[in-house]
Amino acid sequence: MTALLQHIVDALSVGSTYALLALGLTLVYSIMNLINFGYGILLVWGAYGYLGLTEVGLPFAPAVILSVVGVTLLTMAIGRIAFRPFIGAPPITLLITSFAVLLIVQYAAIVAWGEAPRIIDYPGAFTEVINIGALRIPLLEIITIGAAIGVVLVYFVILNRTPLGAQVRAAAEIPDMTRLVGIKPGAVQMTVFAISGAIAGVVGFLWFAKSGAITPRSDLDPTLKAFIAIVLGGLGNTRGALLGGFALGAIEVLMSVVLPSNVLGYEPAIVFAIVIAILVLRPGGIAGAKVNPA
Amino acid sequence: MTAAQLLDIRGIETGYGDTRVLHGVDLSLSEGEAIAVLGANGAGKSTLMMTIAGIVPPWGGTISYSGQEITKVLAEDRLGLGIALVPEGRQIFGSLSIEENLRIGATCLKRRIGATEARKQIDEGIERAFTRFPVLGKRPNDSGAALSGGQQQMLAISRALMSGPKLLLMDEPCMGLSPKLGNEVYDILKTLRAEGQSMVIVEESSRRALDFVDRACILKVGRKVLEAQAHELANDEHLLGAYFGIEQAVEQG
Repeated sequence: MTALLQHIVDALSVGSTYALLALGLTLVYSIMNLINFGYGILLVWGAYGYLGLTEVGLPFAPAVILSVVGVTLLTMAIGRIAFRPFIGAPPITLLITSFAVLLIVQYAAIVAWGEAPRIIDYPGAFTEVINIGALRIPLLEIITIGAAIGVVLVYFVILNRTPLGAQVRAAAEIPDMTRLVGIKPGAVQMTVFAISGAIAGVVGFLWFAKSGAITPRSDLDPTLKAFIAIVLGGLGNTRGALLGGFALGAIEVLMSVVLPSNVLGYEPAIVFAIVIAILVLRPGGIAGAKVNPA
Repeated sequence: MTAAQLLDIRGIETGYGDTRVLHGVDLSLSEGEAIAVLGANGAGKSTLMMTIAGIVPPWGGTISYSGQEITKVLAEDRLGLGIALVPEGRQIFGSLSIEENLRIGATCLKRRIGATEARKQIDEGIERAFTRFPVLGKRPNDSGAALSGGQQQMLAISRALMSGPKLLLMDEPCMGLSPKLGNEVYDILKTLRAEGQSMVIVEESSRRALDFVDRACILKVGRKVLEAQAHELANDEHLLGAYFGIEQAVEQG
């Protein structure tokens, strides 16, 4: 029983970061049909931002907040400069643009921080383990789950309770009609890049707090996981993205438990095989392929 | 004294991809006037409306509104100038509530008159819409998708009126509605006419439209083939029949 609860908490924690990543990606897709392969590198920049700010002596809280704000602004700048001119172009154009952005931003990180792994100094409390009965829960897992709940709540409040959110939902549903009621597509796109960027900032912090070290090429894993999650959940659908993220977390934790130790090295391949099997049964993803940002 | 010219379209040409849909269409409208654009399916009526609203860019020709050339003005800026389109199929935002659909129709007001005044006008606009269509006011938080076709048309018209447009473009307002609901929609349009609303209304072939507009023109394969006073056209069944099938016109009348 304790072991099961332990695994559930693990799965929720791992799934939380995947769900948030999928949320940030799918929101952008629902408005611009942009599949952003450069999403993971934003997390990397967020973590480097935190690293840089703590290295110059900034305390923990302001460093986290400023790094999230920094990633938000970086995402908006990339959106404005690199993606906006191509909105409405065939999806392949946007896809290739996203690869180009990834390379440019990645090499900028290499120039700025070097290729060697850097250890990020997180507060000691992050490594603490809380004992609840026989359960041993790392504090970071609780922080991760809590942060995910917070981000998702803020996301839904913005999307469902503010005029800006109504504009985003409208634009995802009928883009031309949204223009006809006087809404500038560029403003909606920037709102969406900002939300997506803020999510990347938060996840970047949580992701690398867990791994502890970072290189400019650490983006592949989060990007890949985010894509599996959104494909699993159903592209363009928020609830599907969240569901896909948590489902992926559950599959991974389950695999780490049930697989014999000599095949654990093949875990990613097995996870992919399971995802493909799910997609064969449900080609539209778990939640069905219906675009709905909220 | 003649009323000031509100809309003046000269030689509009446009299309999609390599297909030319409009071949040099002229159309003009004075303030307070209503004009019907009639024609068979595929004549280019909706394309003309989308061009006036700015969604379909013209290949040639000019569009002037209130004496200002707006040919290159973006679609999202035209509502702010006073041009509102109620599109074919109504295009209600199903993911938004009834009230949100109304509020979003007034987004341009904030830019035009500032936030405080806009808030006041939006509240008044919502109240007006709910007074005009009590059925919408009963369930303001229901999703737009939950409404029937007729109710969606009421919402689409109300949404278009939220910013107080000078020119209302109505694209096939009765499409997909029962004759009874169609008559109700026309009653609404008549009330708006009586209030002095300038209007361009597109119909496939309808006596109903001719009954309440001042003038009508007929489009045929992207060209304006006839323009006349509405009552002249309504009384000349030979003329009407020659252009788009008298049976249909009489049937729908």
